[in-house]
Amino acid sequence: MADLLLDVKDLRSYYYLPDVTVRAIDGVSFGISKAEALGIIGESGSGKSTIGWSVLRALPNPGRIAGGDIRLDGRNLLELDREEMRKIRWKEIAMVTQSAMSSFDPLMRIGDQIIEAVSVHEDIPQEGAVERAKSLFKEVSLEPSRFKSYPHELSGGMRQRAMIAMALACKPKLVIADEPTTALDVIVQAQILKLMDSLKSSLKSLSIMFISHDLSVVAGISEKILVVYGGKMMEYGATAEIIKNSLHPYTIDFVNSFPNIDATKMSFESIPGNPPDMRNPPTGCVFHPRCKHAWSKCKEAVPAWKEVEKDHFVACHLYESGGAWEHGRPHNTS
Amino acid sequence: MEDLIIRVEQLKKWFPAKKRLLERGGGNWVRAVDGVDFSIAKGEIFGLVGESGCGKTTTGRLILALEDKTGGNIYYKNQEIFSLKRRNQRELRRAMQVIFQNPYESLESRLSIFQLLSEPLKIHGLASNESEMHSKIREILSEVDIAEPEEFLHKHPFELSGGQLQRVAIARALILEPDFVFADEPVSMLDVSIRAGILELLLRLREKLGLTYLFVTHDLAISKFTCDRVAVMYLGKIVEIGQSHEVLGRPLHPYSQALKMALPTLDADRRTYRELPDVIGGEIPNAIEIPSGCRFHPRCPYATDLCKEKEPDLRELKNGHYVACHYAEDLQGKSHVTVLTNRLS
Repeated sequence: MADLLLDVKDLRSYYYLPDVTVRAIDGVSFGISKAEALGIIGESGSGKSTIGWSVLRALPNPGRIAGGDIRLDGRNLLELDREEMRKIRWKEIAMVTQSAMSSFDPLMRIGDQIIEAVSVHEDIPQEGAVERAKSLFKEVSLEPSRFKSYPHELSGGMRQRAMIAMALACKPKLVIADEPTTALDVIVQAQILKLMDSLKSSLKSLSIMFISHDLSVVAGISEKILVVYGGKMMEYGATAEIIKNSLHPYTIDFVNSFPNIDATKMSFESIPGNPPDMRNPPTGCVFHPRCKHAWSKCKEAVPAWKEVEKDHFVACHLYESGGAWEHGRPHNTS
Repeated sequence: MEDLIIRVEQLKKWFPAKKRLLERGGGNWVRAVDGVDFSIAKGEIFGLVGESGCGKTTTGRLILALEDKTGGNIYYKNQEIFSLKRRNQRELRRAMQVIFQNPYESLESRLSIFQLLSEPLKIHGLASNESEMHSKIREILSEVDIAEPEEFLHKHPFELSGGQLQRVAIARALILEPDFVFADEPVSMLDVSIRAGILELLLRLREKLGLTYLFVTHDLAISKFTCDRVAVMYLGKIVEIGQSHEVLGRPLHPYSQALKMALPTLDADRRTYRELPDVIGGEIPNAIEIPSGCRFHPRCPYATDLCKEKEPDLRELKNGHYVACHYAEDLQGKSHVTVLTNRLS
C-alpha cells in the first residue's frame, strides 16, 4: 500500500524479569495508513500499551524489543541509532498518555513547555516558536490566559488539552494516544473526544494510534480496530465490522460485556474466568481457557492469522479447515 | 411507609479549605455535601451517580459514620447514628458494611485471605472457636463463587486477579452478616469483561441475604441496570431522583441529560457526545465558591436570570420522579429539548 505510514511486522516485546521472561507482545503485525486512526483495544495485561511504547522505542525497563520490524514511512525504526530515534520522537511520532500531570514539568509554565517542545525539535526562531505555541493553544481550545498557568493550576480536561497541544507541537505524522480520556469524567471526556474528532478532520494528514480498554471511546474516531489479548492479535477490521460482525469468540464476548444504556434490561455479560497470567500463559490459543467454543486444536496450536472476510482478519481455529465456523460464523452466537 | 433502612435529612459535610499563607479569618469551606435528603427502603438498591467531586462518595462515608457530619441527620432504622451510644455504634459497625472501589488498596497485602476474613469475625466476637470460624469462612467464600476455598485461604492478595480480589472484599463485608452495604464504585477498577459477573453477584446476594445497598458509581449505564432508584448529584446536591429506568431512560434535569449525552457508545448512530452544547463543558465550579441560585446555571444551556437568583427545589414531576430545575416542565415541551430527549430515549 502506497499510503502506509506505520508498518509493524511480527513485533515481539518482552519484559526480562529476574525469574521469567514475560512475552508482553508476541508477534503483532499491523499497519496504519496516512490520515487513518487505528484503535488498539485490549484489557489489562493484553500488551496494548507495550505496542505504543515499542513504536516509540521507549519501553520501560526491563522491557526490550526482542524482534520484528517497525517501519515509519519505510524507515526501519529498529535500525536507527539513539540520536536518529530521538529526532523521530516528538517530531514524527508524539504521544498523549493518561496522566497529563506526570508528563509536564510541574515547575514550568504550560506555555513555556510547549514553546520548548517546538524549539528543541524544530529549527525556528524564538518568536516563531511562541507564535506556533499560541496557535496550538487555539487549536485545542485552551484560553490564551492559560498560557502562563502552571500544570497544577489546570483542571484535568485542560491539562489533557495542553498535552494534545504539546503532542502536535512539531506537526507529527503519528500521534499515539494511550488511554487519553480514562482519568476524566464523562463530560470532559466527551469534549476531548470531540477535540480529537475535529483535529482529525482539520489536520488532514495526521494518523492516530488510539489505545484503550474502552471500545466505546475508540469507536467514534477509529476507522480500523485491532483487538489484542494476552500479547497476541485476536482480530482486525473496520470498526463497524468489529462491533457488529465480530468474528473472534473473544471479540464477540468482549463487545457483549459493554453495558448499553439504551437497553431496557441488563444485557451485558461477563467473560468467565480471568485474563491470562502472562508469566505463565496458556498453550495454544491464549484465549482457549475462557472460550466457550474451544475444541481440541485450541489447546495445542497457536492459530494462524487469516483473512476470513475482505480486510477482516482473525486468529482462531474455528475458521481454519476442520473448524466449526470454517464456512462462516453462525449468527445467533453470543 | 414501608420499612426504611436509611433516611437522610438535610445532610451536610463541609471540609475546611486550606488557607493560603498569611490569609486571615475563618477560611473557606468546601461544601462537599450540601443539604441532601433521601431514604432507602429495605431490600432496595439505591444509586448515587455523578462526576468526581459531586459528593456521592462522601455521602456514603457519612452514612457509615466514616466521617463526621457538619449538619443534618442520618437515621438507620429510625435511630440517628451520630447520637448513638458507643456500644450501639459497635453494633452498627457490624450491620453496615462497605465494599471499596480498589480491592488492591482495601485489602492489606501482608495478610492471607484467611487472615483477612477471620479478622472481622474476631473483632466482633462472632466465632466462638476455630472450627466455627473456618466454617463461616468456607460458607461465605462459596457465596461469592470462590470454588476451592482450602487452597485459596493461604494465598495473599497479590496472587489473585482483580475479580477474585473484589470477591474477597465482598466476602469480607458480608461475613459479618450486615443488612446494609455501601458499594463504592465496586467494579470501576475491574476489566470490562468481568464487571457483569460482579454486578450479578451483588444482585444475587441481595435476594439471598436480604441486603440493602447504597451503590455509588459514575457509570450511568451500570446504575441503570443495577439500581432500583437513583439520585443524580451535582456540587453536593441532588438534582434529580427517581426510578433508575426513568431517570436514566428519560432524564429531565439538563445536567442529567448532559451526562447521558456525553456517554460514548458502540452504536454509530448514537454518538450524542458530539452534540453536547459547549457551555456544558464549561469549568466545573469548585465546591468552595458555589454559584448563586441553581448551582448548574453557569453551565446550563437553558439558564435564565431566575436560575442565577433562586435555587430550585426538588419537585415531583411524575410519580416518584423529582427534579430540581425551575424549567423542568417547560423544557420537556420545548422543541430543541424534545429533539434532544427524543434522541436520548
